[in-house]
Amino acid sequence: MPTRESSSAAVWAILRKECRSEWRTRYGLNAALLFAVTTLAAVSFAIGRLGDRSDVLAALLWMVILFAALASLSHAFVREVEGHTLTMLRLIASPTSIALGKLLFNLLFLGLIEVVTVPLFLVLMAAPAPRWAPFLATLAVGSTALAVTSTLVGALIAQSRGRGALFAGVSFPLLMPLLLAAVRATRAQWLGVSAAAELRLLAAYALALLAAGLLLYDHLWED
Amino acid sequence: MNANFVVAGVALLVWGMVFFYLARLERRVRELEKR
Amino acid sequence: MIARWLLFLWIAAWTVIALLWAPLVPLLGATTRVLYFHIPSAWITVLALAWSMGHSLAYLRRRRIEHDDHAAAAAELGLVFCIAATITGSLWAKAMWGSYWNWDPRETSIFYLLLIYGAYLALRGSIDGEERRARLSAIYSAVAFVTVPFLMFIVPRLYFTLHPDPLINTHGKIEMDPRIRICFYAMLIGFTGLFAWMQSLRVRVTRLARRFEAAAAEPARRAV
Repeated sequence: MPTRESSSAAVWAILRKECRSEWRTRYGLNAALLFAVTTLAAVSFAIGRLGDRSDVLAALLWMVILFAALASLSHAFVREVEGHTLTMLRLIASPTSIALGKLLFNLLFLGLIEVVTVPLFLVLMAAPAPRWAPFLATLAVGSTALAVTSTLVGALIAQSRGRGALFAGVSFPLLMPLLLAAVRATRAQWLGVSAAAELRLLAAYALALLAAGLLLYDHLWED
Repeated sequence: MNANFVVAGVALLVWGMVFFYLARLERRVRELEKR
Repeated sequence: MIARWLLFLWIAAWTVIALLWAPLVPLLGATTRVLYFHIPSAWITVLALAWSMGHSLAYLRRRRIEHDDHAAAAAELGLVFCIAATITGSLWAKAMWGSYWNWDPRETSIFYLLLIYGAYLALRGSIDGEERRARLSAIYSAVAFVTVPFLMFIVPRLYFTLHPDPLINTHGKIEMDPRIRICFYAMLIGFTGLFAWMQSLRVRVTRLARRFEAAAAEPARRAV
């Protein structure tokens, strides 16, 4: 058995590799940004300014983020399977390390999309000024949970015949509690109400799924 | 009172059909299992 | 076969008793009848889910295909009962409050289960290879199992629209009349028996199919 790099080194190496290969073409990132901005533009064009509707604003924000994630995060593993590089990866790193590397990449990717999309959203929809601490906290924890789930489901879907639509359909049940909590938390900070309970739930959710993933990733690629 | 009888009748009919379908399936499966 | 005939008689008898003898719940009026079918359906939905997830976890530990057979069969049956529960519930809601769907906690929960079942079966349908299908769907089942408690936390705090769900509030009241209570529990038992029978049938069919497939492949193998 060839020696495996230590786990954290492997994770880091995979993350760097993902970033590098993504940066080479930037196709995925461009497509994802385009998609997110298009969704946002469509919503804004259709609904207009919604300064006083914090309930709708919170929901729309997370829907845009959700759609962007569903459209772009499924590819992390598909590329590997199609390029047959997964077998090579598995020679040098444990399944968990591979998954963690991909997860960190997905997190970075999603973060990049949000850095562009969220300010645009706030401006286009004439949203009231958010309370930055809870707002950013919700975005951070919610996106982490989103990335954790998407990485796991992406790994499952890559070995199936289904692609984008299946990814969305299979992810959604897992994302539903997260979506509900995130929307409530985002709305709460606009209403001036505490979002602490929702944030705790989101954090617990992200952790639970991360833990489950870490236990299960070893079983994902056994052939 | 009448409506209740109708509902009861329909329910029994449906259940009877479901049961006989399942019973037929059961018989067929047992027959195949013996082979 | 005797047990199955007894099941038939049990459900048939209690259906008649429930519909013709048990009183109506004052709050629910004529729609009381639905609870003898709607709630047992929902109960089986949850039971089937637990059965399926349990076997998925067992498969991951022991890798015996029988566990996957059970997980898949229970998921199919669970979906059927879930659809039944959702539809009867929606019709009941329409009769009671004039609206088919409100995203109140019970409705949201049953919809959530519908999604999990649907996603699980869709995933299974897209994977070739018995072992891989078993393993990956078991993983998904395990992850879904982790998310279920969170929905239970989130759902009760959902924004109530027009009315609180009567099942949660008046459940105590419904259970009060002993005639209704006994019919209700009898139907629960009946439905559970029905599920057990259907599950058994489904699993045996899967096994038979596998056996025949292997038998069909034999001459080809021998010829090689």
